[in-house]
Amino acid sequence: MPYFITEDCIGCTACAKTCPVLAITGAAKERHVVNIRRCVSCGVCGRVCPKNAVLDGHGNPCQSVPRPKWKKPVVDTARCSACGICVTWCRAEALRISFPTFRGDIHVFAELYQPNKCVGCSLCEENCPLGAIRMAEVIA
Amino acid sequence: MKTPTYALIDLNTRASSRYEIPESLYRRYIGGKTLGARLLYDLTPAGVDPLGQDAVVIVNTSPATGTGAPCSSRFNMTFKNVLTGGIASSNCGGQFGVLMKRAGYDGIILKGQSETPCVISIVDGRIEITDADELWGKDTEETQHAFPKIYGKLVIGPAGEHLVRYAAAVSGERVAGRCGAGAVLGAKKIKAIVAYGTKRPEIHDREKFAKYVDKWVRFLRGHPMTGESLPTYGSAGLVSKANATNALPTHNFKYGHFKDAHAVSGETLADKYLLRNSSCISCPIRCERRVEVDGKDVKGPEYETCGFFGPNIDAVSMENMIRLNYLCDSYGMDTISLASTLAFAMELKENGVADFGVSFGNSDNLADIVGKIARREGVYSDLANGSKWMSERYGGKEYAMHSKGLEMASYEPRRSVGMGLGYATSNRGGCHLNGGYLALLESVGVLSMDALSTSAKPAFTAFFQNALEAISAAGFCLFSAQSFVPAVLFKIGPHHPVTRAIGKIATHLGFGVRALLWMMPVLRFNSVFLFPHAEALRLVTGLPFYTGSFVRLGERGYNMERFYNYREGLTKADDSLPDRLTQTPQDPNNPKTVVRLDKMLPVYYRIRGWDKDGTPEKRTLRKLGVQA
Amino acid sequence: MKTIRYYAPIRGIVKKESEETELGSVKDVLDYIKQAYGKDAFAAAKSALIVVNDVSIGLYQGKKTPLADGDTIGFLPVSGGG
Repeated sequence: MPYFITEDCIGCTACAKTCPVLAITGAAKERHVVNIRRCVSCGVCGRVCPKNAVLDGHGNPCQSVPRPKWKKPVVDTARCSACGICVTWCRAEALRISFPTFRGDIHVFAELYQPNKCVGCSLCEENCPLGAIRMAEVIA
Repeated sequence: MKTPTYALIDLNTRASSRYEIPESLYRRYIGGKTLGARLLYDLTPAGVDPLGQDAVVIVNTSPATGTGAPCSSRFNMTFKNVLTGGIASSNCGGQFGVLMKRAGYDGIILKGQSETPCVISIVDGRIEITDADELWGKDTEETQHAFPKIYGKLVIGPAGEHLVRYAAAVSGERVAGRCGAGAVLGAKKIKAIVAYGTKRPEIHDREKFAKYVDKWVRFLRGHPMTGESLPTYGSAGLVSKANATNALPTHNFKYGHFKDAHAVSGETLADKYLLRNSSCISCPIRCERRVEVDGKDVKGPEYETCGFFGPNIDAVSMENMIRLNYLCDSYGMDTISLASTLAFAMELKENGVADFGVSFGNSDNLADIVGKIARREGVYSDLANGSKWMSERYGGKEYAMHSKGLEMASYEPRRSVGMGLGYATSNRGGCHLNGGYLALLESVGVLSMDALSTSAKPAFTAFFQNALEAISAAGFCLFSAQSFVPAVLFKIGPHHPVTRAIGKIATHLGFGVRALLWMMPVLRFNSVFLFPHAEALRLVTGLPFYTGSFVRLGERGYNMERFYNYREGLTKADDSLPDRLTQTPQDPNNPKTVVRLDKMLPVYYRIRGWDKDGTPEKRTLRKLGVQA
Repeated sequence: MKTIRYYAPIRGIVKKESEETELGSVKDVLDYIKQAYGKDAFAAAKSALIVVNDVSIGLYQGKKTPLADGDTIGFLPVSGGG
């Protein structure tokens, strides 16, 4: 169910910048709009909105969540086949396939190489066909 | 039952509309090239110009595309073959197919021609056609960069714009290479097709499917071919294998062995130039090469490119080959047809017939010339038409190495006669894959049938043509079929008495395979060892696909393509090979090193249920449910 | 003088890319590998694609294939492609 942005929106553009599927449009200082055909209900916009102006698919207002508390993907490197599906879903480019550790190394896997860019959308976990990714809170 | 969603796009009016695929069509043809062949037959009259106003291009996916199944990124382009006038199906592992499906469409049908260069956008279920004047003239890399990174793209380069007959279409790092896929888009002035959306694919039994994917991926990763060899060497690993059995085309297919093959082999590529391997989306095999040349990290060459920019033109520079591979991707051109045409031009020069400034053993000047061909500059416009056209203009038909007009792949069929039969009967022309890829069982694989014996080859060819067709129709990469060769054979090796015995037995198993083909419908089981694709297709669609009905799907598609060819006027005479392969033994001391097409073709026709002219008989079409 | 060339995976076991030899046949070289490098090396060598001057011994006389002066015997990885 697609999310919705209310008139409380102040047009700070934080949601548009973090939406993993570019589903939010709007000019600075103007109310933003969610593309209902594209929204994947990941909840990132809700977590990032400073004004609680986002309603989830059921109409409940979303609570903002501080960045350090956003979940991040943990890859089970033994299960991961490096098929790249998670990488192509990750608009933040936080994930990549690891580089070989020696010449001829073919046992590479998905890795969170830019954890600071991750917005915690869970699209990687959702779309991994082998269930090799689990979103988890990072205990600093 | 949910049938696939297709859109009909009219380039003249720039309007699009829903196109219904009736359930009866879907159940019989499923998707990809098989459904594509049916649609092309139904939507076009006979005799259209492949590059003309009435030509239709179908870009479609299959039920498995984008589901997360291994090797399932593939999408298909079906169109009238620019080089042969028959059917063309060009397959590609790039992201476009997956993203077009996410955008809400399983396939698009392109009709008419745009007056000015355009881009087709398929985004969130909506289709829009906009002008693209500023992109026209740009190479494929620049064109792809003009769109958001997350979009799926299918673009052409200068070669497609100039209607080079073997121009290709590029999607990400992969290519829909053959038959002029780029030219048919260029003729419609389509510079790019882009797609984005977030729709998930339909899967009939999600839980069982997820479990099967898990099982299949583990099987692939544990197999010596798909889990070790292909990720380590890529397809380039084949150079030394083909050379070892004298099946590596050298000097425009004059010879089958190249003494400097080592310099351009997969082992050398891995040792000296490889940075890492990479993959199409959704693939655990990861056979793509990433290599370094001129300080850049670029996609590395596949086996065919290694063979054709190496031994077939007597060249030994791996660096030139990597550069030329990159250039061909940039211009959007098929490396096989291009390099084979270059080899033909080199032989014309050798024989004093014509001089195009290219000669055997020299790959240093080719980068320049490839650019001229892409832009059809001056006399190089001739080379842009392919070796068949050139041989009709300049002579040399005996050594124009094509079948039906499509240049043959890098397997010397005089040392792999089943492959020779495959080249001659392949629906899209001299293709090793559409031809059944018997080279894997006669020459380059761990298991070797007698490469020169003709007895079982017609039956094996028909069986594998059907099987590979079905795998492609379901949306899978053919490399996923490499795991059907039992892993144990790799452990004991090609020279072990058991491996040799199996090869000998297979050589005489013609009637066994014939019986198998006849009793196909009875095989109501699925095995991860033979066709895991059938089980995956069954779980995705909910349709009863088992080994038998799966291969039958392939047989149906193969006959549909053949029937299209027949309607377009291709006859038995087109199931041919150049004289060099049928008249001149590769080894002057061994008269058996020729392709006895004359012996194999009649047997093949009988097995296929075609008459003596190679036309599918009515009862065969009825049995398969292929109506005229 | 003849040359032995090692590729993966046997290269990783014998830890050499090549060496010279005066042995006279493929079988002799295999026996030498067993004796000099052990069982694992021998197993890897036996199951490799064995070529003499880049041509499979299957097209010659198999393990009985003789080696003449200047010949190279190679142990290639077994693989396939497309």
